[in-house]
Amino acid sequence: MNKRADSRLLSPWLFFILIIIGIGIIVGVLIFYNTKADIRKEEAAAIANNIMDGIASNGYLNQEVFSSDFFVLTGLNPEMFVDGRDFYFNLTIYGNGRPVEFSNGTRDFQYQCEIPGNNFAKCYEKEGILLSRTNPDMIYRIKLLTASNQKQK
Amino acid sequence: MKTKKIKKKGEISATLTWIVAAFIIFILMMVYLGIVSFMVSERSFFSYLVNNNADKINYQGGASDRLLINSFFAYLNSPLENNGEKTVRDLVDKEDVSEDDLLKFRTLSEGFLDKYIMKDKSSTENSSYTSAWIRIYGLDEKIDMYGYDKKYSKYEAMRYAVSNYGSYSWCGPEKINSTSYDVVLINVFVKDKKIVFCTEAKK
Repeated sequence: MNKRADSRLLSPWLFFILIIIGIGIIVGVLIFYNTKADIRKEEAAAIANNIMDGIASNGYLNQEVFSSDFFVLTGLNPEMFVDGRDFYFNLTIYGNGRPVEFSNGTRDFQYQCEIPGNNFAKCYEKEGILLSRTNPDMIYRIKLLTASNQKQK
Repeated sequence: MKTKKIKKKGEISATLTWIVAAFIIFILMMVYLGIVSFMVSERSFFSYLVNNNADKINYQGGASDRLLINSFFAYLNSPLENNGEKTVRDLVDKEDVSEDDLLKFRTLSEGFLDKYIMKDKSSTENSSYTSAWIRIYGLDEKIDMYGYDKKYSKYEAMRYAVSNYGSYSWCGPEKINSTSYDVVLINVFVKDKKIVFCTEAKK
C-alpha cells in the first residue's frame, strides 16, 4: 500500500483548494443572479409603441380610438394600469374640438419622472402628429406620456 | 536519522506542490470571477445582442419609435396646401419639382419637422436604445443651420432605399453643395439602418 500517496490526498492543502473552488463558484453565481437589469425606460417605450400601434397606422389616426375600448384597441392589460401598480400612460389628442385624454395607472409617475433618482419611475414622453383618413387637411397633435417603475424583484 | 530527513524532505515537497496548486487555482478563480463580473456589468454586451435582433426586424417593427415613425409618415402624407392633392410624398425622389411646390414644401416642412420631428433628435440621440431620429439637410440655409455632419459624410452619395418605394435615387455631394440645386435629404435612422428620403430640384 502506498502510504505516501494517501497522505498527499488527505493533505490540508487539498481542503484549502476545494474551499477556494467552492467559494469561487458561490461568489460567481451570487454576482450573476444578484445583478438587476433596469429596463423601466424600455418598458415605458414599449407601452408607448403598443399605444401607437393601436391608435395609428402609417401616420393616420385610427378613428376607433374615440369609440372603442382603449385597452382592447391597444392590447394593453387593464389590470396592470390601476392606481398603485407599476405603470402609467397618458395620451392626449388635440384635434379641432376639445382635447381628448386617455389616462390610466399610477398618476403620480408623471411627476416622479421629473425627479432625478433611481427610485422614481422612468418615462417616455413625446409629441407627434397624425392625419385623418377622412379629412386630408385635418391634423391631430398627440401628446403621449408613458411610465414604468417596475423593478426586478 | 536518514529516513527522518527523507520523510521531512518529502513533506516539504508535497506542501510546496499544494501551495503552487492552490495559487494557480486561486488565479483561475479570479479570472473566472472577472469574466462573470464583466458579463453582468458590461451592458453593451447584452444590448449588442438585443440590437442585432432588433435590426433584423423592418423599420416599422422591433424597437422602432412608433410615434416618431407615425409622425414622419403623417408628414410625408400631408398635403402641401389646404385642399391640395399633392403631398410631400409626391415630391420625394422627383427632379422636376416646381418652384411653387418647393415653396409650399419648405413652409410645410419647417413647421412639421422643427416642431415634431427635429425636436426629438436631442432626446433620442444620446439614448443607447435610440430607435429613430430624423435629420434634414438642404434648402441652403438648412445646410448651414445644421451643418453637413462629417460623421455621416459617407452618406454623401445617399441612396433612397425605402422598401415602400423600391426605387433608387442618387444625391451626390456635388448636388448637395451646388448652388444650382435645392436639395432636401431627409434621413431616417432606425438603429444602424439608414433609410434615406431624398428629393432635389433645380433652382
